[in-house]
This record gives sequence, C-alpha cells and structure tokens, in this order.
Amino acid sequence: MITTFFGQDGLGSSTALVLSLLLGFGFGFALEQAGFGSSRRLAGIFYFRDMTVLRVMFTAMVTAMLGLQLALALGVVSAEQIYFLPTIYGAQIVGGLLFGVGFVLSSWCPGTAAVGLASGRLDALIFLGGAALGSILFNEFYGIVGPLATWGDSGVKFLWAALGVSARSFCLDF
Amino acid sequence: MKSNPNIPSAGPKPYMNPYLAGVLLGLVLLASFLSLGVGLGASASIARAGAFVQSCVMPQHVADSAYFGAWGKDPLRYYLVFMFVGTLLGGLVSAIGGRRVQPQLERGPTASRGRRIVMALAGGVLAGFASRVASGCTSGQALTGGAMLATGSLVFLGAMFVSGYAMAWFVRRQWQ
Repeated sequence: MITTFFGQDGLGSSTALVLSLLLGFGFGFALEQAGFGSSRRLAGIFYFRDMTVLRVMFTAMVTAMLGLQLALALGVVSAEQIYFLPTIYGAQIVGGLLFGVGFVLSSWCPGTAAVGLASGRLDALIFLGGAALGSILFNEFYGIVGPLATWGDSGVKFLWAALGVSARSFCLDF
Repeated sequence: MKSNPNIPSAGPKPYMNPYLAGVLLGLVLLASFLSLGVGLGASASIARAGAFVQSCVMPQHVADSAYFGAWGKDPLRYYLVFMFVGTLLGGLVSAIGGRRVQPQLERGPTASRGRRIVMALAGGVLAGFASRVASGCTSGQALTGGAMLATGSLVFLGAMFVSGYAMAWFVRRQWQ
C-alpha cells in the first residue's frame, strides 16, 4: 500500500519538491518528444492539419486512467491517498471557454509553452509573460471574478458515476 | 531528401511516435498520482511567478491581496513551481538531443511579426486568467482530471475545444 505525499500532507516537504522536479523533467521530456515545443504544430489541431497532438493527449489520458484504476482495484493505493479534482461546473465551463480562446490565439498552453521556451521559441516567452499578467489581473479583480472560481461547486464527481456504471466496467469498455 | 547515415545530419531529428510519446506521458502522470498523490500542472507556477514579481515591486499590496496573499511570503516554494522548472529542463534536454532548439518567433510564412506577438500576448493573458478561474489548464485540468475521469475536468476539456474551434477561423492569418 502506497502512502503518497498528498496522503501524509507532505507536498511542501523538500523530498516532495525534488520529486516534483524529477516528474516535471519527465513531463517536459515527453511533451517535447511529442512535438509540443512548436506552436505551429499545436495550431495544427485547430485547422485539422495535424492531429498528432490529440493522439498523444488521448493516449496519455487512457494510459494514466487504466494505470490508476488498476492500482486502486489491486489495492496498491487507496482513494484517500489521491487528490481527486472537484467538479466546479461554472468555473470549469467559463474557465474552459476562455482558456480555449487563449489557446487558439497563442497556440500555446502553459505546459507546452515551457517546452517551447526550452526550444528557443520567442512566442512561448511572450505567452508566458502574458499568462503571468493574466494571473495578476485575476488577483487584482478577485473581488469581482473570485466568486466565478467556486461557482457551481459540486464536489468530487466522476464520469462513470454520471453514466451509472462502475469505474471498472467503464475502463474495461475501452 | 535522404541523408547518408554515415554523415551526421545537422537538421532536427524526427519526433517520437505519437502513441509511444502518449504512453510515456501517461506513465509520468501515473507516477505522479502514485508518488505525490496529485497529477501534473503548469499554470499555477506561472501565477506564482507573477505573484513573486509583483511582490518585488509592491510587497504590501500582494501580501494584503485576497488571492496571492494566501500564498504567503514565499510563493515560489511550492511543488508545482519545482515541477515547472523540471518541465523546462526536460524540454531542454529533449530539444537539444533532437537538435530542435531553434531561436525564432514561430508564425506563418507571410504573417507579420507584430501580428504574431499580439496574438501570443493576448492569448497568454486570457489563458493565464482562465487558468485561475478554472484552477488549472490543459495539464492540471484536462490531462490530469481527464485521466481521473473527473466530470468537471472533462467539461473543461470540452469547453476548451468548443471555443478554440469556434475562434480558429478568425485568428488563422497568423499561420498563413
């Protein structure tokens, strides 16, 4: 049975910080290998020129999903040890819509811009500066926009539950 | 153009097979789930870098603000900031290994530099703001939450592509 850093409230420990650095290294390496260090290539999904990005993303999601469900089913890790993202409908719909516009305008998102910057892309650096500015604007107008971030908070919800099936049968259908 | 395998070519190497790269990315995410107990993320570190820079200029204002203030005196001591530094390093090692480090402003063959700079900046501001509204971006919401099959994160993923595809036609000239 695994005890995670989240499970022991230890995400702030020095070990967790070093581990995060290593996991980030793997993350950046995989993103760059997949070709996410180029904004022209990322823009390709929006014009149906190059769907490689979606293939990589979907494969990664399915791989991690199956691995996580298997680890939970075998009792390698218990659900209390994992931070499951809450469903906050208002925040995720409004945030998702705004984010999509930002994504297609810039052809970058935060993680891909990191590997873009590492690949020497000036437009990635400009994007990252803009994203820091956008975050500052969120803080400055928190009194007005803050309630959006918790609008429609519905707690932890899973798609398989919404479809009325178990996690195991949902994953087996893949 | 065929290259002679005996002569090292100066051009960039091809990318990894997309399914292989996807499995690799998925395994990194799974490793994060099983060790840290959380998924991957990128946007929080950019927001924290923003809070850090702003606090260098106006420390009291940031300390008193409702959102950034909650991050304390040292917003950079956070696991996602370390993850972002790792992402930069991993990307750099991979790009150097693949001979893909090319300093440039990436844009369409006839698009102006000014247009591309404005688009990258405006898109960045919007994406940065939106990731604070949704508490995550493509990494922390779409990929991480999607792999968890979290309903709201899949809603985020859907909403992101709806508006992205709806806007794509209007901003196409930067790639022409």
